[in-house]
Amino acid sequence: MKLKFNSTLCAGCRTCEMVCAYHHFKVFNPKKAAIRITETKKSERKYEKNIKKGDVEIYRESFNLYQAKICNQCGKCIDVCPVDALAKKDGVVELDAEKCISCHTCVEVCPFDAIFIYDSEQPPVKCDLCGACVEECPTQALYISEE
Amino acid sequence: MGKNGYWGKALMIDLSKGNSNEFKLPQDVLDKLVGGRGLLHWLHFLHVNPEADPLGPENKLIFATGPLTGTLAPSAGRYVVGGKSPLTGILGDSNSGGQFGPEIKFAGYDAIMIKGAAHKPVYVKIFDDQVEICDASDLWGKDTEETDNILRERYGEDIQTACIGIAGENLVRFSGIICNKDHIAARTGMGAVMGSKQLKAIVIRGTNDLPINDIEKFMEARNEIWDIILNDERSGGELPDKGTTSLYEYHNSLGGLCTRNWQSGYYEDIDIVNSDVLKENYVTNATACFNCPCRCDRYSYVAEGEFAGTYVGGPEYYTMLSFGSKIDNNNLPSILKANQLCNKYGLDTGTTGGIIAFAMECYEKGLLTKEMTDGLELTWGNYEAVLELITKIANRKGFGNILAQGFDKAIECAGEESRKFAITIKGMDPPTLDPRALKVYNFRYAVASRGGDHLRISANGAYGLDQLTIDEAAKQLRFWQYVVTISDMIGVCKFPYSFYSETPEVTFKKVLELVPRMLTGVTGKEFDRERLLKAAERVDTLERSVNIRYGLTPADDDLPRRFKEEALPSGPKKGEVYDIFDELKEAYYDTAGWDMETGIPFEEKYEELDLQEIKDGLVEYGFKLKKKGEQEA
Repeated sequence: MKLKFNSTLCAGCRTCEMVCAYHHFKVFNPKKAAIRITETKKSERKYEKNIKKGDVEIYRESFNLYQAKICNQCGKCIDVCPVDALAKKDGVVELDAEKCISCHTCVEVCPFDAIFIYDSEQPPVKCDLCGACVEECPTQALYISEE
Repeated sequence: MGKNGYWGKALMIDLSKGNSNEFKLPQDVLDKLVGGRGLLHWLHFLHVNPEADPLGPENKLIFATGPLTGTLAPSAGRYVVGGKSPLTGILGDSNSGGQFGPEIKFAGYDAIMIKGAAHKPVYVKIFDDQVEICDASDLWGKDTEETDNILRERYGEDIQTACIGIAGENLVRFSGIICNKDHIAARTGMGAVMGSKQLKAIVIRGTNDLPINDIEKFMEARNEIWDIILNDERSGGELPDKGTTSLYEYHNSLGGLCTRNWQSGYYEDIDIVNSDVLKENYVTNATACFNCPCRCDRYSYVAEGEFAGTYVGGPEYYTMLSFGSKIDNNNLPSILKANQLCNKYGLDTGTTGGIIAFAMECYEKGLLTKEMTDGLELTWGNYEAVLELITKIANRKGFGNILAQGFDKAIECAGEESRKFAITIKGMDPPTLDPRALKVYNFRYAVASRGGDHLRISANGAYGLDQLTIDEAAKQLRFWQYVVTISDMIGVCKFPYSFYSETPEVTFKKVLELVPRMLTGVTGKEFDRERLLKAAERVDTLERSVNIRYGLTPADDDLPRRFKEEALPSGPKKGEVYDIFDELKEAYYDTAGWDMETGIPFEEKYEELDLQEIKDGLVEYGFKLKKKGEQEA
């Protein structure tokens, strides 16, 4: 299973960031989220036609105005962790905060920039595929794919 | 002290001295005024000398948040910025969404106050408690989009910016402050105040957990209100679908869509320009402010034709009419182009369109000629001239330099006879809905604390007040004013809370029942309907007091003569004039507890609302307060 993102549906509200941090830390602080929504640079904007949600066309055309930094559970981080704090369980790469020594090597190697540091002395934040963001996304731009 | 929703401190940045420090915000003030506009104008009252030149170093530029800003409350992304307005010379403030407001809160402040003026262009960088004043000579002259891009390139994606464009740099009196490229704190000229301080931008990044008292308790009420807003036909249906743009044809159907500088309330070309045509042909995305499910912002793109390649985060209905019916322009792509130019230059689309509409009427009546307008033919609907004029205004060139200085300067240029075509209240032009078409509701323009403004009372539940007796209508209007003010105090957007609801009952459920519960969770203090309504009245009284100190009198609470003397010439409300003004004003003053002779709230009001220090501030300044009893005797 993977968290997926449809950039033409995303409205850029960042509710996913807020919900993620709330779900994992019981705080309001998007810097503690395991997801980031950023604006697409103008040079990278694509103009797409016939944007559909299921079978229903919702935009005749649309821009991919926003990007998401999301983990796809590839596991590259597992190999570099010096204390085996990262491990794959049922397809989800989980971070054991007890074992973690906050070296942040995983952050550096992540190909998707999807592991986040909020404090240099604390374990980083990584997506555990809990689905809280998917549930709250008002536009269904986030979804979980079975692939 | 435990967490109570506030940091209890503000950041003061002195650009003259080049330093910054934190100062405490008294808890009792936060308790009484809640935040947002309340906090802003308390600081305004305390720190701005009423004699200050709005564009001088003595004026302050104050950014304030509310206790819900940055929380998971729906649309909790608002901030308000204000000071003494360079457009009107009285209370100025403007409210904006986007992502900037919450970052102030995450950085650890409830408010930021900028004082003094830099000697050369600067920007301020606030990374939590690390504050730095940086050289902005490479940013000066750049448009708002470039400025935001450069700063994100420099500091990474997890910052937010608020900046001015060239209009603010050039002190255009209706320039605003832009965040996230297309979100503008537009009205009352705060961009010019920022420009006068040579402050190009604020870059901010905050990493703190908000100080929430009982987050679970908050979330219970929050989840309830989130579902209501998301599932309501208006806030969850119309807003994502059309944004605010459907108000364009709705106001026309009421006979009150401002047309040709308020000469008419009915626009004949409504079939050519309306929200459906916009949606079908130009809107590509619906975008959202921080944590808002309503995504009412439009993103529009012109794929072909004269304006091919034009893109803009917009339009709002207000922009559609300012560059549409108000100037009799039925070319929608040109409206989008005008919107894009204003956003890049950092201009308020409202007053920019409003003052151009004034100039066009003067041109029609022969008070302005081609010789006076640098050869621009300001005939109705001449969008090419309008686009050129927008650029001239932002650059303060030729005739654009006249308009850039506001209505008084424009009247001076066109002659005293033009005054009757300047449709302003307290120096600012109102937006759209013609008072002749919807009378009680639009009395709001006459009493709004920042001049001709529609957002102090902005609630679809209040559209039906014309059916009531005058006394009852005045009471209801006051009540709705409080309901709307609450959104501005707590740091959320008034659209999903007070304006867009299927029924008034839904609005009351949200604002008067669930908001208090969210506030109780955030602050740990028991909030209820009465406490919140009283706080809103307090904020209104505070704002009134700020304006009293600026010399406002009852004569300033007025509507332009056009509305009282000229009948609507066409449309569903043909023949209507504003014929209830004096009566309604008296009833409104009475219910508000304001003295008809001086416009000052009665002494009892200050006592009832526990605003002793504001009353003392007025007395100190030489104002005499009366008791209501004395007046009656």
